[in-house]
Amino acid sequence: MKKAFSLAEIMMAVMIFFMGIVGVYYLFSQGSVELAKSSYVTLATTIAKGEVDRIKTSEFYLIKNENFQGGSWDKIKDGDSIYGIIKFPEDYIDRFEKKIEIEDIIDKRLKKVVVSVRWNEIVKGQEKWRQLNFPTFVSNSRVYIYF
Amino acid sequence: MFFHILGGDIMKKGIFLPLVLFFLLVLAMLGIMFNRNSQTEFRQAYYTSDMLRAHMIAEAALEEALAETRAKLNNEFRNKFINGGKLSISLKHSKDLKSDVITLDDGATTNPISYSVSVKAECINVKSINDCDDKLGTLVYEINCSVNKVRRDLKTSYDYKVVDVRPVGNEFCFMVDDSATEAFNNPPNFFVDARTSFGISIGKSAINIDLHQPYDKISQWGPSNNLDLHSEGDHEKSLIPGGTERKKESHDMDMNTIPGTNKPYEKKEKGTMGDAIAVHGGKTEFEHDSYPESCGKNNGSTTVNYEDPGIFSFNSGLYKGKSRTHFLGKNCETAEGVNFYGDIKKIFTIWGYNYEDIQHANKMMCAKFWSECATCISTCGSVSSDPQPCAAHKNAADWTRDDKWNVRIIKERAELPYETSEAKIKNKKSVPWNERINYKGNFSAIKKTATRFVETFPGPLRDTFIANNNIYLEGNVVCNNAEIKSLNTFRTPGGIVARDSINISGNLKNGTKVSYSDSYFSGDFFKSENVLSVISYNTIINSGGIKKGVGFMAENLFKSTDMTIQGNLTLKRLDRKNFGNNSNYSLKYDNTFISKKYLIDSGKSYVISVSPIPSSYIVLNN
Repeated sequence: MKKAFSLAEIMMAVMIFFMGIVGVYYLFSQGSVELAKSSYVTLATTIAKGEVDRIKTSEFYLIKNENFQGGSWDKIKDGDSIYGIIKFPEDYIDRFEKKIEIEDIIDKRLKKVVVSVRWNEIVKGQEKWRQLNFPTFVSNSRVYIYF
Repeated sequence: MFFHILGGDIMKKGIFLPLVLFFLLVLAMLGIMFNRNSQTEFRQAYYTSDMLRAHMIAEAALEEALAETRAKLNNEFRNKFINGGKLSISLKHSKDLKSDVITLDDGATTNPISYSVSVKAECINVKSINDCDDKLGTLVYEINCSVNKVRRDLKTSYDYKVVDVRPVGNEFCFMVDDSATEAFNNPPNFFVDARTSFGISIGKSAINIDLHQPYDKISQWGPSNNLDLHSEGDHEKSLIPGGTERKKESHDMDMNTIPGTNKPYEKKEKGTMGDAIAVHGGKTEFEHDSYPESCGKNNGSTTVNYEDPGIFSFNSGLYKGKSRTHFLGKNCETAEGVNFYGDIKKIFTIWGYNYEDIQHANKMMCAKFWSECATCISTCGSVSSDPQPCAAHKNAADWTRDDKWNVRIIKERAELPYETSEAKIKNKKSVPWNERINYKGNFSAIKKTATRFVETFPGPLRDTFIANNNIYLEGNVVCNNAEIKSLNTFRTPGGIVARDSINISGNLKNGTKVSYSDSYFSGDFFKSENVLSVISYNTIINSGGIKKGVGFMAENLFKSTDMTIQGNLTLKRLDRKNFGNNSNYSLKYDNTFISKKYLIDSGKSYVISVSPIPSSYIVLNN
C-alpha cells in the first residue's frame, strides 16, 4: 500500500494554510486601508490647496464668508476644476466635505482664512470623520503706507 | 504538473507542508512589503499635508509681516525704508494658529501638530529716484516655519517706493506775525523778486497768496503802500542780486488808482524806476477795503484796511516800511522763479491751525494782532451773524481756559514747525524754488515715482481702485491721459499724473478719513489723507464742481470754467491760464475751507507703496 497523507496531516496543512492566508489577507487589507487613507489625506490636501488658491486670487475686499459660502460644511463636487485634473469617482469624492471660515484679524488689513476638509473613514466598523484644518492669512496688499 | 508532483516521489517525502509554508511566506513577504509601502505612503501623505500647512503658515507669517510692516511704517520703520536696515517684526497672530488647526467638528479626529514660525525682514538696495528725496528699495522677508517634521523656508522680496506725494504748489503765503514788535524785517529787508526766465514783468501780479490770517494792509505796507526792489534810500544799490542802482523816485500812493497804475519797477537791463504806487497787484473779488468783522476800527476811529484770509494777489517788489515777520505758507500760485527775500518763515504744516470749535476764528487771530481788541467788541458783535462774543472780542484776561488752550495751540503750531529763512536772507540768498514746490521734473522723471501706470486714467478697476465713486490711490498713478468724471471723494494721498491732457469735471473732495480702532496700528499716519495732486505735463481742463483739497499743476495750460478750487494751483507760467469770462481770478473764496482744515499740508507727505507682486519668491527647501 502506498503511503498517503493522513487526514490529520491534511487538516493541519489546511489549517496552517488558512491561518497564513488570513494573516496575509490582514496584511494586504491593512495596506489597502493605509493606501486609502493616504489617498484621502492627499485628496484633502489637494482640496485645501485649491480652496486657498481660489481665495488668495480674489480681491482682498471680496474675501468674505458670504462670497465663499463660509461657515458651513459643503460636499465636494466631482469634476470641480479647481482641484486639478483628476476626475474622481463619485463614491470616492462624495465622502469629502469642505468648510471655509474667514475672520478679520485686523480690520481692512489682515484676514484669517481657515480651510477645513473632512472625510468619512471606517473606524472599527463605524463611520467617523477625519478632518484637516489649514489656516493662513491674507493681507491687503493695496494698503498704502504714508506719513 | 502540480498533481504530477503531488503524486510523485517528492510528495511521498512529506514536502507538501513546506510548500504551503513557502507559499505563505512569499505571500506574507509581499503583504508586509505592501503594508510597509502603504504605511510609508500614508506617512508621505501626511508629510504632504504638513508641508502644505507649513507653507500656509509661512505665508500667513509673511502676510502678517507685510501687514505689520505697513502698520509700523509711520513711527518705527520709516527711516529703515528710507535708509535701509533690518525691521523688527513680531508675529503674534501667526504664532497663535494652533487652535485653528486642532479645532474639530462632530467628533472628528486629526493628526497631532506642533509648529514654529519666525521671520526676518530687511530693507536693502535703497536708492534715490530723483532729486526730491524719493527712494526706491527692496523689502526682503525670510520666513522659517516647521510643522511636525516638515520645514518650509521662504524668501521673498518686494520692491517699494518712498514718494513725497505732496501736491506741487507753492508752500508760501503771507502771514503776519502777531508779535509786530518782534519783527525782523526792518526796511528794506523784505521784497519779492518776480523777474523770471519767462519774462513776467516786475510790478505785475507776481504771486497770489493764500492769506491764513487777516492781513493788515496799512500796518504792513504803510500809508504809501510802496513796494519796489530797492533799498529805501535814494541812489542805493538794488536789493536784487545783480540789480543796478536806483534812481530817485516818489512813492506817493493813490488808492483810487489800484490796480490801474501799477508799480514802478526796475527794468533790469536799464536800471530805471517808475513810480511806486499800487502794491497788491489788482483788486480781486474777495479783496476788501476794510475788514469789518475783525476789529475793523482802529481805536474806534480810523478805518483799517484788512484783507480776508484767502487767495490774495501781491505784486513784486520791495516793502518799504517796517514789516513784521512774514510767514510764507502755501496754497499759493506763483510763477516759477519768483523768489522771496526777507524774514520769511516757512510753514511746514497747516495741520496745527486749530480753528475748530472756535467761532469767529479770524477775530481771534485779530485779537492776537491788537492788544486793545476789547474796544472792538461792539463792532464785531454787531456785524456778525452770530453775536456771541468769542475769544477775539475779549481781553486776554477774560479768556476762558478753552480759549487760551486754542490760542496756545495755534501759537505753538505757528511757531514751532517753522523754519526760518533768516540765515539765507542774511547771506542774500533767496528761498529757492525747490523748497517751495514738490516738483519732480519732467514727465519721465515723475514717472519713476509712479506706483502704477495706466494708458488712460482711470484704467482698469484693479489699477486705480475706484469704488463707489471714490478714488483710492496709492501714491502716484501715471498715465498718458486722464478722464476724471463723476467722482465724489478721494481717500488716499497720491497723485494723478498725465503726460497729455487731464479732463476733470464734477466734485472732487477729500473724503472721510479712514480710522482704525485697533491699537495694533498707530493712528497718526492718516493725517495727510486729504491730499491729491492732479498734474498734467500739458493741459488741465476743469469744468464745474468743487475741488477741495486738490493741488493742480499744469505745465502748459490750465483751463477752467465755473471753478471753485480749495487747494493749490500751480502754473509754470502765470499767463497760461484761461478762466473763461473771469478775466483775472475766478477762484472762489470759501472761508469754510480755511476753518475746517481742508488745506493741503505743505509738509512732506510720503507714500510708501510696496508692490503687491513679489519681485522674487523662493522656497528654500522642498
